[in-house]
Amino acid sequence: MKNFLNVSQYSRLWFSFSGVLIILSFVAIGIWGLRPGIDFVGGSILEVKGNNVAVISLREALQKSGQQNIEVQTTGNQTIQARMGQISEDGHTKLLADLKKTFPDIEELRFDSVGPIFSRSLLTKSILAIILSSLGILIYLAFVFNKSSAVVSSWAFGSFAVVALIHDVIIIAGFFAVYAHFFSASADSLFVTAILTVIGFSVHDTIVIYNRVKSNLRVLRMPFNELVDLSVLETFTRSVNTSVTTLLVLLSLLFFGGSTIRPFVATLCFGIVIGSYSSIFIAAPLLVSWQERKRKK
Amino acid sequence: MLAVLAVLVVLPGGKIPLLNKIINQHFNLGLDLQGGTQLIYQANVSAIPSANKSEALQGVRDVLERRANAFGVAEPRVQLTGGVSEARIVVELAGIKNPDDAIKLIKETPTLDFREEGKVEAENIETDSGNVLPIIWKPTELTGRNLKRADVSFDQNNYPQISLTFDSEGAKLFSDITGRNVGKRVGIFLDGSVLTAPTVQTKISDGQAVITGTYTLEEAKLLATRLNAGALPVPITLISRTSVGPTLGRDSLGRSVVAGLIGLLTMVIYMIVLYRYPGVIAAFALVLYALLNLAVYKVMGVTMTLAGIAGLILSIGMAVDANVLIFERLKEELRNGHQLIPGVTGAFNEAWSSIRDSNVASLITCALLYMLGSSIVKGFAVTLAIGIIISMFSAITVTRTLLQASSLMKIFHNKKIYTDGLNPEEIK
Repeated sequence: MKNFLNVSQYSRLWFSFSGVLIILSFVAIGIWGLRPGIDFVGGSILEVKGNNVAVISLREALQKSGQQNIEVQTTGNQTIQARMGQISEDGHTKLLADLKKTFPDIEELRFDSVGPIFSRSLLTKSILAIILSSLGILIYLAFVFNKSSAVVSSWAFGSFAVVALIHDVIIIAGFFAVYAHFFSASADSLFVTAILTVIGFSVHDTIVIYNRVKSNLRVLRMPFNELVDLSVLETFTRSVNTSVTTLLVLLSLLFFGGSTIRPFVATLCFGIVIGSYSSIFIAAPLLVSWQERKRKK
Repeated sequence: MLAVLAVLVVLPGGKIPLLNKIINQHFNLGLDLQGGTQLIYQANVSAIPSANKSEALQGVRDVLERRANAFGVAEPRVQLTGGVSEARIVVELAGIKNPDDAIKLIKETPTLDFREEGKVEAENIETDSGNVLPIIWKPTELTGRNLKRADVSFDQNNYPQISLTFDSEGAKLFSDITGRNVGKRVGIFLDGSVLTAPTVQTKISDGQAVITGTYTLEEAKLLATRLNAGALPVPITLISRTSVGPTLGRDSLGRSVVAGLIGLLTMVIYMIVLYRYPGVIAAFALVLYALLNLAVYKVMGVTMTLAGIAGLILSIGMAVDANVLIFERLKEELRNGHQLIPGVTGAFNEAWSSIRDSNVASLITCALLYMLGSSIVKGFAVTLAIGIIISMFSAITVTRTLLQASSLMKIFHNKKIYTDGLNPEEIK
């Protein structure tokens, strides 16, 4: 246990492991892509339920009604979801009437339609939100850790927290590409929310470890790498317990909660694991590697 | 103190107004949980001088709200979002069965105007082809702008009709028009087609007119409300619509509640197994915490959505984190040979900076999500932020008070109940 938590000693191993994860993420994104949700690119989603409604018959009915770019899939609970181009108000009335002809007992559970103006501005804002919150965290950390030690500059704490955060974002995006491919989901604004939440959570973890490093620097005299390892060890139980308790609630949401937010919750679950991992095995050893490199110069 | 407050919230029959509000008020459920339609409109304010833009948008909002009310929806929510630069209006209609009708009604601008019989030789004037004898109608200056109020009334045969009351300018115009058209007909036009064209018997100067026709009471009411709602000051375009059927909404709500309870329960068990006595305290603090959160939602009128529930649940996770940080510190303090009472104080002091820093970082994220996110994301940010703020208080007040109070009692002096017991040799 102690050995495996000597994170700075095995930093190469963890850095390579993360490197592989990052490469795999890019590969997954490259192969399957991150299909943006209709709230980012426009289009409509129709979710229906009915006795004779099946994927193939619904697709045919939609084609007959003149819809374009149709994708149909089941979503569980005997409901079927179709994604297609944007539909106007009149178009929707007509579409429903057409569908009623083919499937008399069809029930519309959900219908979303987003126009291109709206989606474009939402995408810009979401990207802005991710960038600004990273910056905000960086500045806050630099401020809180200001003059905390002579060994590590306060900006280093902030910067490495942000490096760990970018690491998380890439791997979560990779995970989502895989998830979306197998469970058919799209990267919508809830996905962005999940990323931002994980960023917050991962930074939580990183801050707790860094805070321990900071307070240990004040009272202990030992080599920096040992001090970081000790700090990780001291905070390890806390990191695991917090992640586990949060995961417990999220898992109950994943299994018992509504299907609408399932991709969101799945992303959060994965993100929390990755976030804890990166705080312990990336953010902490980065401090050591950086300090050692600086000393060599 | 907070514990007392939260307990009061749970106990029924309070006499404090705030308390009554908490007990009697229902949760604001979002459309995804109760079913309904959300419409987002883009207002085109480019033609309006910038000084008047926000006023024009407010006007659009008011008109849309009146039209939404006309549809008979319980408490429609109509909000401006994004300020003048973005000029968007969000309309939320809960529990409607036929969103397409609502969309049509909301978007249509009823234009009301009065026309008089024109001379036959005049060209380029609209004709009312519905009549047997084509009449050439000449527009007057009197339009729906001059309308003060429209009401449903009944004629002598008890058929519904619509009474129009003009403002002072309208009354004068109407008086002029009726004055110069005695014996002739005056056409009342809605959306460019004639509603009724009564023959003027005498000059009318009291600013009152009546639209008669074969209306059902419902139609008459709808027309009156639409006329009252007035015209939009600027054109609007529907840019996004989201409808959730009532079945899906109910289903989601039920599932979220079940999931939340199961999650809370497993977490409580985990905490107690892990931290023993402090775990029990934490479990108690967490239940209070969850209730406190729900009370705050009611007081602040926070709308609960699926994403909002996710925010709440996540904030419970973060609240646990605060407790975990404190208990881990407490274990260390006890292992290092500290006595219980200074140990508790020390643990809180040591854990506080971590709790504060990590929560502030999350609050930064929440603030940005709120400023930049769509309405789903906003709901998430709001509940998460409320949760984080309450959790900081509940960790340092509820947990701390309970731990300190019990550390003064003899039966809680056994240090073993504060640790996991897996490594008793470490406890001095």
